Amino acid sequence: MKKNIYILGVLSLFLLVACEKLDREIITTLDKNEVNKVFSYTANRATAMYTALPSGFLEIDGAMMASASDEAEHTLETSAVQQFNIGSWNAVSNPDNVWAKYFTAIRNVNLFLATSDSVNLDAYRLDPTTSQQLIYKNRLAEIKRWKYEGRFLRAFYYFELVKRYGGIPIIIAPLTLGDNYSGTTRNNLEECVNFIKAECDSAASVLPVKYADTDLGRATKGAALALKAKVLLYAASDLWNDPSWTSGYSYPELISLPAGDRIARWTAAALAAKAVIDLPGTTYGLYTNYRNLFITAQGFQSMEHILVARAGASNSFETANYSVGFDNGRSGTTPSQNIVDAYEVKVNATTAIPFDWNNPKHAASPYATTGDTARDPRMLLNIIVNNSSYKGRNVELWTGGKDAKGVALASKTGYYLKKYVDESINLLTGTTSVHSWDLIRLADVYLWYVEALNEYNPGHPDIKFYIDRIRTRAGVIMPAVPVGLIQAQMRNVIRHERQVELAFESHRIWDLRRWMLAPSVLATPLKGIEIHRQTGIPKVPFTYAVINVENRVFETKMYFYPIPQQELLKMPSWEQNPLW
Amino acid sequence: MRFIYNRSVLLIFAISLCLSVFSNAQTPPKDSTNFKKKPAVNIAYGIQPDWMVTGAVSNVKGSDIQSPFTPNFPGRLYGRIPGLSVYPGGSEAGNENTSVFSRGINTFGVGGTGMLILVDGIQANYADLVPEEVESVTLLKDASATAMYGSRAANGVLLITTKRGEEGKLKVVFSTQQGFQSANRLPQFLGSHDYANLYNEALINDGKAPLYTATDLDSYKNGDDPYFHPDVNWHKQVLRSTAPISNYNLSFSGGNNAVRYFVLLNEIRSNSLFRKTGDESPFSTNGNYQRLNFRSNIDINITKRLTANLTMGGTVVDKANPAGNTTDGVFNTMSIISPNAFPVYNENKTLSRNSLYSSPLGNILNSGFYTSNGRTLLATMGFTEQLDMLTQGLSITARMSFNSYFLSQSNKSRTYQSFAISKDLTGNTVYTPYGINSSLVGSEGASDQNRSFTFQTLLNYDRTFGANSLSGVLMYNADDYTISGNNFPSKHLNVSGRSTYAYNQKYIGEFSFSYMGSENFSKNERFGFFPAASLGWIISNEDFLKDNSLFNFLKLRGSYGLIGNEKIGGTAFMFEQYYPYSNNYYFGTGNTTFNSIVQGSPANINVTWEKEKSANIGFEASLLNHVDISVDIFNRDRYDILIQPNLTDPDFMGYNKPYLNQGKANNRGFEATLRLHNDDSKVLKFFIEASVSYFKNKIVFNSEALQLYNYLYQTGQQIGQPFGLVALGFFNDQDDIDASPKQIWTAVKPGDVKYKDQNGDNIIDQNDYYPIGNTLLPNLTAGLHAGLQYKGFDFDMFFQGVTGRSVTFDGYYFQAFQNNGKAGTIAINRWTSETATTATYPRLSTLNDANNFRYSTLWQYDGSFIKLRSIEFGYTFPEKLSSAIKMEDLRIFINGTNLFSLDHMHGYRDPEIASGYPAVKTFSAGLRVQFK
Repeated sequence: MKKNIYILGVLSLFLLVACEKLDREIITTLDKNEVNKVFSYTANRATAMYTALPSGFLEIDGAMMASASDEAEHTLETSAVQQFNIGSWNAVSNPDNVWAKYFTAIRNVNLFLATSDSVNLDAYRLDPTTSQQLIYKNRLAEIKRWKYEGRFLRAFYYFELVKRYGGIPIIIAPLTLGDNYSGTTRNNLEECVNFIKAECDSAASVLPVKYADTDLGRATKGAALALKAKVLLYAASDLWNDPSWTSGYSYPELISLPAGDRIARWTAAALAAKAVIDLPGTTYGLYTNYRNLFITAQGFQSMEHILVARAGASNSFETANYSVGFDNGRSGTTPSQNIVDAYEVKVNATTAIPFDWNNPKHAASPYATTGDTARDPRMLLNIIVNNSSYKGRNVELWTGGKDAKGVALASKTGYYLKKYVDESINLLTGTTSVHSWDLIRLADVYLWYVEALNEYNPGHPDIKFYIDRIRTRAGVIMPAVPVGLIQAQMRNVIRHERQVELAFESHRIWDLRRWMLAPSVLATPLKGIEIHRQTGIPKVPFTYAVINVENRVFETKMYFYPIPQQELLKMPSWEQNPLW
Repeated sequence: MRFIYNRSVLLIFAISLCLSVFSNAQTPPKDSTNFKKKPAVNIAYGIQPDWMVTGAVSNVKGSDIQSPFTPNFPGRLYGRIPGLSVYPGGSEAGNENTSVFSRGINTFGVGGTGMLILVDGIQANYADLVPEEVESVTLLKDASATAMYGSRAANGVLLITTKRGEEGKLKVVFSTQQGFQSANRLPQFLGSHDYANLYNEALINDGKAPLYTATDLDSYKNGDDPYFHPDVNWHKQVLRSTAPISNYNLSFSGGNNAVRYFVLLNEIRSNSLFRKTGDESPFSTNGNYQRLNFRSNIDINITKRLTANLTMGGTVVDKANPAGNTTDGVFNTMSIISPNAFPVYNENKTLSRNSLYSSPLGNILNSGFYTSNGRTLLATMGFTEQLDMLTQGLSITARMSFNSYFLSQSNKSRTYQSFAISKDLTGNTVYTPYGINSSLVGSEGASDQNRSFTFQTLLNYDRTFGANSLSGVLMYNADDYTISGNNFPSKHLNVSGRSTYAYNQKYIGEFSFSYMGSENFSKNERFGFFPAASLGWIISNEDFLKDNSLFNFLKLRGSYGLIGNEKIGGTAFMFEQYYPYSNNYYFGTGNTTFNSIVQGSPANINVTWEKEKSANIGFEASLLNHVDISVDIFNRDRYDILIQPNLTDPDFMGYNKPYLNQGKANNRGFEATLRLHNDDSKVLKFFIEASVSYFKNKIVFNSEALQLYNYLYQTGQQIGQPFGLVALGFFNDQDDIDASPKQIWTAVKPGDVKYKDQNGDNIIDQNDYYPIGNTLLPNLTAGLHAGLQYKGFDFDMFFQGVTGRSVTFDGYYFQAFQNNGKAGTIAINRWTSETATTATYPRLSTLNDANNFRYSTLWQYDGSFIKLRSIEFGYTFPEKLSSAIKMEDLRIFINGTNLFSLDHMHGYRDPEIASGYPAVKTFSAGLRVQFK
């Protein structure tokens, strides 16, 4: 009997503790059902489709893409962006390796399109009251609009890939672990162009022209039409129509369009751009303050912006780009002499001439703001030059100055970036401001239009009209383009205007490729300025000497990025891009 | 659930009490049926007599590791336990972050390498223990020894057992140790004159005009212009040469047949090598580490059969640091700022700086400080009841543990003003202010805490029938761990058991197992069964060896089993599909924040723990009464390691690659110990113990991205194998460059490093990286421990030697002028056209060099070293003398810890501590008194 009691006692011990449960105690995540069925989570997923929009501020390892072009040099030698400049990038190592990033973004859209119809709206649908029915209808409409926003964004991401890699696989289903991919091939360039164009058309048919204030920044009809215009401009430009540089590449369809009617292509591009300009219901217009167009609130609110990559308030861009002579500045992207020299000299109200170092008047005061050597005002709105006032003092870019070479991490070019940089930020107290990256703005669209128009209808009055609009923007007021230019002259004017108006906006490297000028422009040395101050005598001007900052490399194969080596190794049937 | 534990313990107590009352009526148990008392070894959830152990187990006594003087408990274990690798993460008191590994590392990628470390059977912080409270440290190495820990066993188990009281009269011991620490090797940088000379040379190499004129160089040489031509050694400014360290220990132990106790109080104090900034500035504090340890282990015989054990230990740690939470930032700036950049103080007595850097001294004086207070308490209450009335040799134990850790931190910070100086056109000094003086702002928000509860019930059986002896344990364990912040709590539930059968002390067979679950896996995959078996044969007990004079003892043993590692890495609960919040986006005229949600990487629904098939063979022998030998060899096959399917899935699929249980690794090696001693001598006692442990691991399968060349794969290499370029020397001249393969990173010049073209494509690029050298963790660790006693004198020393590791010279200490840094003395031997044949360092450049400082054999050094970990001389006063002053035992001693290192570092750095707070050596003296 006693024995039984013991056994019972011992057993009860084990029973007592066997009730321990082994399930996780806290769940901090959402599950599939919630994410797909709840309206607000679906809204969050729709928002997520935007997050891959490229922001050019610290794009390439902390540097701007401008530092890979003739516009600028990045101060830090160890930044990966330097690989572009010395030509040491390839299929294994590419500083701008966005392949996975955009395919992830594309899958994210595909997944949204495949699952966004499962939102449960029964609470409104089954309630007959008018207000609830209205909510029901609005929500359905919103879900539909998100899908078209998504299709626009997917087309945008495709364009970002196509302009880098040429023809790539068009994938419209959300692939997942275990799916068979072995049959996937690279679609040719024409198919990619048609896909982007068709997606833009269908998005434009649904997306609104304008949004309520709370939704400012979502994809509009104007943005969809503009993206179409841009892809059509690329499709009309030289690079995609001329595979001759590939020296006999066997798959020209991957990087060029079939031979066809160039005039028709230019016409399509021009009409598509004009459709954006003339789109009824918009308030598009050139903003009257060129500098503010790129900073703080106007950076996303202005009537000139068509598509903007939005971001929260921060000061990381200022930390990277303030001169090292200011508290916590790291110099970052420093504009080149090449871009400075590109800004014209405004002789008088009607005449502008190119800047020329051989002209003693020009050379004596290269940064004049008044008189007959005054430079294009956009130069000083975009670039900080020697002895100009910034953040409460004059910037000292002469040898021995606070911001000049000799000081560790100082600019190698003799300039600092002003465009996009918020002068009011205090890095010591850590103030921040909103930075928005403009992806498409009206001046850009004007220049697409006139570029295409000039190719098939030179002399058309719209060409001069729209360039002059840009040049005579309030606060810029450059002399109008002379009348009577022949097509080739006008082509140069347009290209020059793109260079100075759109400086540092990440367009230059793609324009130079598109025009097939990259080997000649990007392979020339990047220039800077060396400035000496005459000591002892007050108010004595500075002396200037143009110097070589860096020898640059651009080989023709770099017209297109190489397909990442890893993908090729997994897809043995794929072709690498030419010459890589 | 927690109160269930509490309730259960009370209930157990009640039941046990009942049982013992009943059982009082029974006849008392007969004399112990165990063999006569032999040295016992701690094993998983129990102890075994030495001869019976068939698993691979090594241990060291707490009293054997008292000699190194350091606040860090694992810092005493270097080389002491065969099979245990100890690797320091730092050398600052309280920030040592020492890692320990059992038989090296046997997992890779995200897999966790951490061992299971148990203090008195409970997972707890052991780094703060003091040796005076530790009875022994035991390493369980093979599957047989660890199988009872199931899915937590595969990385090895370290058992730390604290001291308990023994029957006898009260023993009061007081000891103290006082010493000072100094930096072993501080980085060596060039002074201003050499720096300026070399900088000019670097500028000329870059095709630029020299910066420093002959006048400048003279000023640096003569030191006649301390403000505009300073020569500052920041390490000298910020650090002092020695810092005191002290320890006080008081313990009481003893007991009778009813109660036994061990009570200890210890205080250790280690001052930082930073100069005493707290005395100089109201915005700073003196760097200090202070820890109080207390312990009270009590055993009570409640009735004849019922014993209660209370184990309680805790620490209170106070830290103060003028440089913030860690000192790395200050050591970094000290190593960047060139000696001539700015003086310590300007002429007007203000703190100096330049546009890029503020003064490291100013920072620790004026920018606030960090203090923290950490508390740990580990308490276990247990009851053991003899169940002889049920059957002979049966007993039951139940215990509950509570482990709590709390850290409160306080960061006080402020900004301060300092001035950069320059000269204006007329030669006057211009002071440019940087920063503003602000008030000291405290942030007390940061705290850290965790706690765990463990509940265990063990049923023990131990009995001998004639020549047969049978013992076994069946145990139930439930634990749960809660941690602050965004970390997940974790839980385990397991039933484990072991049964050992021995025949005539000759043949031993053992089987152990664990059936274990963790909530980290999906319901179907949650529990796993981990069995192991081992055999032992004591040959010396066979008749044919019984009377030989050579072998006193000889045992052969072998084991095989399956164990797991649940520290698989990656996201917790990865069997679920995650939808994490992603980057915010912004819409609206007010730039309103919008949340975004994306689908995470595809769920791995079958996720499971890593598994290991582990085999071990060993023997132990005692020869001629003076020689002990022990050898173990092992083979461990780990599989189900989490890896991403990079080999197969292309990026255009668009999903983030999930972690799948596909990886495989192998690890094999041996441990051997040889000990010579004459313990039985009355006059001169000595011992020499040499041990060596070796492992060699290998990645057997990893779904690596496809590589163009076979040598680029990590698969087949050891885990963590470094890949780098093979340096062939320096380019002699332009002809040499033209004739060599193109190195793509930058346009090379004579004096730049020339690399080997591994694939023969005449281009040096990423594809020419080759497996070079070894990992930081040594493959081979050896220890040499020797001691002797003669009359009252005693002597003890311990050397640790390692080999099979590589060390890289990188960062500011070695990369002259890179990232606007200064130059170390290593740059003296740089390449110039004159020194082309003897140069050991590439051409200097002020630009960040994309060619020369790539990871290559040029910067990789043999990391082998021999360190004198500790040495101690002591003298114990004759009993006559000590008893005259009412003492039973009085010993004085002097001690040195980490006094020197023989290595291949050329004096530039410590072979283990790469940068930051320097490795320290310690001299100390102490005394130990046992009162009557």
